[in-house]
Amino acid sequence: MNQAHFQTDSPWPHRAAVLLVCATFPLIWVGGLVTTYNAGMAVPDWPTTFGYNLFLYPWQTWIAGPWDLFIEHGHRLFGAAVGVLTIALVAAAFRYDRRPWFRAMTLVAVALVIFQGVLGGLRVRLDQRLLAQLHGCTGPAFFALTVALAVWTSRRWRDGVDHSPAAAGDRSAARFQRLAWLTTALACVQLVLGSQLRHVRVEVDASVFRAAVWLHLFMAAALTIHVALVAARSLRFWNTAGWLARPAVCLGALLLVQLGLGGGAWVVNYGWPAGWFGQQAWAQGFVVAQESSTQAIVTTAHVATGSLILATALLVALRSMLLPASRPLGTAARFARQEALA
Amino acid sequence: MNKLSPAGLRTACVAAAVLCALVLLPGCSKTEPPQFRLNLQGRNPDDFIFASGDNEETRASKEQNKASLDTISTVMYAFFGEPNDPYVLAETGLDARKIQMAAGPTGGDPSKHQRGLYRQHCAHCHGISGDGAGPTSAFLNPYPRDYRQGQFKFKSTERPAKPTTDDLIRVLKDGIAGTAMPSFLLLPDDEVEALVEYVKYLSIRGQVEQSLTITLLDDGNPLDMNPSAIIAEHVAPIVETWNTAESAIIDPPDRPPIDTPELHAESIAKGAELFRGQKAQCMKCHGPTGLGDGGDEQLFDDWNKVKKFADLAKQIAAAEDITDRAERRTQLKQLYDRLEIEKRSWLLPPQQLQPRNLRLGVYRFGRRPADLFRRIYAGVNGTPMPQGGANASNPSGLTSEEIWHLVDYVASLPYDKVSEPGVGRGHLAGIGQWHE
Repeated sequence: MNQAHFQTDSPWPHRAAVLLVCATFPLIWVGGLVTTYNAGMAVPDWPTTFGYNLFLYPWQTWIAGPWDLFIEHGHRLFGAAVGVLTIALVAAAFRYDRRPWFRAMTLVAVALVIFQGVLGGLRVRLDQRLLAQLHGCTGPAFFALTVALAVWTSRRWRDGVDHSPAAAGDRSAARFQRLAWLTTALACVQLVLGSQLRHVRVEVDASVFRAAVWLHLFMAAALTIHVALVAARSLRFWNTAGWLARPAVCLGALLLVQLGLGGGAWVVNYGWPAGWFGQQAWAQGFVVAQESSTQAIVTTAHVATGSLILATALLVALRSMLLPASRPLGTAARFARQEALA
Repeated sequence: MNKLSPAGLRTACVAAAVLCALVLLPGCSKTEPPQFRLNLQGRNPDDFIFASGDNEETRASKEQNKASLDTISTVMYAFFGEPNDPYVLAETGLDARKIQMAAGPTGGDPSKHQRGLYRQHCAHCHGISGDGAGPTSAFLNPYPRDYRQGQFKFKSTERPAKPTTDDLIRVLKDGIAGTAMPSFLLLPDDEVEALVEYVKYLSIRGQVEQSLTITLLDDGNPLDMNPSAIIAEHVAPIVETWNTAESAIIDPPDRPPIDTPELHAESIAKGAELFRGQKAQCMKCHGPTGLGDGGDEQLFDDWNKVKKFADLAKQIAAAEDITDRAERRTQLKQLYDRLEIEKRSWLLPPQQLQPRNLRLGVYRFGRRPADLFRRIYAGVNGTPMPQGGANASNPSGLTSEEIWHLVDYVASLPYDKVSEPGVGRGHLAGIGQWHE
């Protein structure tokens, strides 16, 4: 049907997009470690590294150097590699994919990755907390975009809306789509709130941090409810649309992990709370170890899983657009349907 | 090919704008260099703010108060600088190089020297001014230490004395179990030493500010603005307390022999008797069984002006017992009004202290017998845990031998059969009654 309009049969755009996803997630981890270890200023210049061209900095000095230099310079190299992969995706898109909007989105991805690199550079040059926070928020946004690019190049998307009798649409599909998009939006807001906590300025009043923590917890509760609903409601599509139910259930599992990591991140940074824990020998004997590997891993894992939740929610939301809906849909749904049916 | 509809584009733009606002708004405040917060030390802020209803006398008094605050700010800036550019007065004896390492914004300076260690590791809890009211402080129990009062809980010295440098290094390296105070064992020694030096700087600075405030605001005396006079009167006495800390170390005397199980058991039994007796009165707070459940009295420490709150809480409790209804209502209203005024002058809401549960086997600042001896001998400075040992100010206190018996008893509690998980604390219920 839409093969001629959609793209050739070349698997390269999809392969490039999936490779980009796989490279971006570890980059988010490394970026998280840079903040966790406060290594953002380990290399005080940019775009050079201690006066060297980024790619020509002596690798022996990098590998054998201090830990903060290792992760900061490694983050820059990794970022550059992701930039190259994004350009490769653009090349594949312009070579094999005929959809103008998709080509435009790959260009957006390139623009975003360049913007992200410049933000990181300015964060070093100007030593500004706000830039570090923006840099921390653009990372997950770029990761989510790479996931979307992978979805848009997938065979599932190419095949379009499933019109088989087994997948006959009803109102629940439309409701699920709305729920999935709302969940994605909540995940996005929660990520931004989390970055507020992570980059809190030492000068602010205790009441500001307290408000940010409560807001983050409130949003966590809201997100938990929405993700639980997405996972539960996706089960009704298990037989007809397993490709949608499986990531939705994974999203639920990821959220459980994230709740544990959130509690863990608090404990490894501030110890166990008072109250019931105050009467437990194991909690009272616990000493927070500053800059320990446990502290770094748990805190960074919480950050990285937040990005993964956002990306998974977006994946579910995008795939839900392929569900046959029995009533008029919103803009995004119409977009996907028109695209698939064109 | 399809294009995004105008409605879709509008929705996307609104969503992006909301997200950008979320990221940017909290950072939009001016990023001026941080300043040390002026310490009003529990004074009512209304004493410094002009109100429309003020009469001439009140206005003159407030004018005077504001002038005094200006004088204090000027002297503090001249003697101690500001957070990004601290000035190290030679008379303090502090190491300027270490202070530079700990002060300022996080990261290196243009010459690539380490800077900003305090802001990187400490200020989120202890605050830029060392007032214990950093951004995260409101969530922590116990609150982070307010250095400005020059009081420290965990030290090896006599109760009123300052901690030694080694004491502070030990707190930093070991952390404090069961609290948010982390262990900085993974930091290089020079960085830990720089942090300790900066804590001393903030503490000396805070106490000098306190001394000036007492002179100008409490006593209403004018300040001799000659720097030498200020140093002699307000700085030198405080620096001296730090310099003499080493000579105030408590050196526990040799303990009575407990070489045999019988002698050890005998020492524990004597300690148990002292624990519940009138002389040591440990039971009063720690409870008859050491579970930390003795008495109903609300306990507070000396930081954040909570002593005032404790006094008010006692008065409120007394007022609630007044039988005459109208009188009770009047008294309570007055007390609660005072409470509200007091609360406005605190940095953080009062936090009630919980006596330690000695059966957990977790002792802050060390579990060695010498550590426990010092805790019992000198108490815990700044808290209701009193000086237990006999000295010039407490001649009727415990003898060294008695303290050692108490050490043996306290150290035995976690190994008591009933302290084991699963045995249940119901077994402990009768112990207190037996001794009453």
